[in-house]
Amino acid sequence: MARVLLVDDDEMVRYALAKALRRAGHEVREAASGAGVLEQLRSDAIDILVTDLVMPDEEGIGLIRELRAAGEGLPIVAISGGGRVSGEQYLRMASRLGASATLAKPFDHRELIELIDRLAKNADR
Amino acid sequence: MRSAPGNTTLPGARDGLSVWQAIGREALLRFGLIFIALTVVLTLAMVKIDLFDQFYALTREHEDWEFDEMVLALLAALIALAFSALILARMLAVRVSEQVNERLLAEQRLAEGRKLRSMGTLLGGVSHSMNNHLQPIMTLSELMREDLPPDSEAARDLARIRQAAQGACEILRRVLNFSHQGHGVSERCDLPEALQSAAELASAAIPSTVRLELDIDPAAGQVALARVDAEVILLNLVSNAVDALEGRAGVIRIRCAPAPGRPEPGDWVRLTVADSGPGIPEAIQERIFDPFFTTKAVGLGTGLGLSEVYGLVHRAGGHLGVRSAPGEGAEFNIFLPVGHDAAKAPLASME
Repeated sequence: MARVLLVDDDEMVRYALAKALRRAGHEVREAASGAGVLEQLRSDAIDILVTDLVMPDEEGIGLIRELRAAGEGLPIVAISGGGRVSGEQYLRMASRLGASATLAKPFDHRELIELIDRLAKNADR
Repeated sequence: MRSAPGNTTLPGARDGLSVWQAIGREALLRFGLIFIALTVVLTLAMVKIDLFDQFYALTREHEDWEFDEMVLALLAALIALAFSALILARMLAVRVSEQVNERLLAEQRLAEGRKLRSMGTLLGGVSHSMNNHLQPIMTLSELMREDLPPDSEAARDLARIRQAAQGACEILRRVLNFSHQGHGVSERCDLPEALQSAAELASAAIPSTVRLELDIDPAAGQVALARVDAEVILLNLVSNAVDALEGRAGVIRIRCAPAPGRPEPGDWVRLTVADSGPGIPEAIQERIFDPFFTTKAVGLGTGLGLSEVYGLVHRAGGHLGVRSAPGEGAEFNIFLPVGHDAAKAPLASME
């Protein structure tokens, strides 16, 4: 079981992915934007962050950069459906900035669950 | 003589060409040569037939005149000048109309590029939203299915919903291929190798009445395309050609060869896919690369194949065009830069 913080501005995406993760036995917190995520990570003892990359107020890219700059070493899964530049470019940028894994929307939620299981296992070691 | 590359009309070069630029040095030289040659020939001819003698015989008594030849030469020069000026004017007219045509074509290409680019931006935005909408459809339908007995009708319907969502994903993937926003931006492949394997795939899939003729130079080189994208280009063009034949027997010729210096200086490779179908009416030739444009019956074509080819070729720094006349088939020509380094290479190496 891992404590996952799921950041996505799309409520339906959040609802669906949170449901899938909970069903797989993970504990899920949700956030609709990147604002305040850093504080939440510290106060809620989050194991893994799953974040969208294209959001209206704070871009996920900025969030990842900010977290890594603040010395946060937790595993980050970046998810994106594309945007102004290509989704793939965003995902590459995210992994370059330190995201542990990336998924292009729409993905099979089982892929996300496998990823989280693996990342949680690695973090335990 | 075609004008040198630096001299071709570029859109926006409104200050344009002086008459002399339009004529060109070579034409002026030709004008001079024609003038001199005509003068000499006319002079000799007039001296030979003793033009003055005959002229004088008609007008007045013949008298000795020392400057006969010089006057004849002057006369010949005047006639030659008139002739050469006519020829020069004609050359000028042809050259100017060529330049105007070139400029019109360039402007047309630019407008077309602009239109397709803005369509690409639009489609990129649309597919971002669609991807976000598809995520809950796929996830929730799958989660619901897990709750139901596997052989219940509801479970089967949910599987259908998921299948439909996957179909939508596939359309989006192809649309993104058009709008330059797909995957694999930085990959490269050996074009002849990719074409060869795609052609094998194609020949297994096409009707037996259609023959594939391959002429692929194995040394044509590497291009800035993922192998799968090079295959997609050929498969789309071949499937388009097969559809164009409309069930009749026919030939599809696939040629791939180096094309040094064409269409721009440097190393290029040219891929040609030509069919013996009915050809593409001129009226729709400029629309065939538009996404969702199709002449096929509803449900038979997505109208994405050629737009996908367009996007992939442009992403690899290439150009493409079609040549077709009614009844004479269609010939798609693709020019790709050889060994083109994709701008995104450093990003890829980080993975």
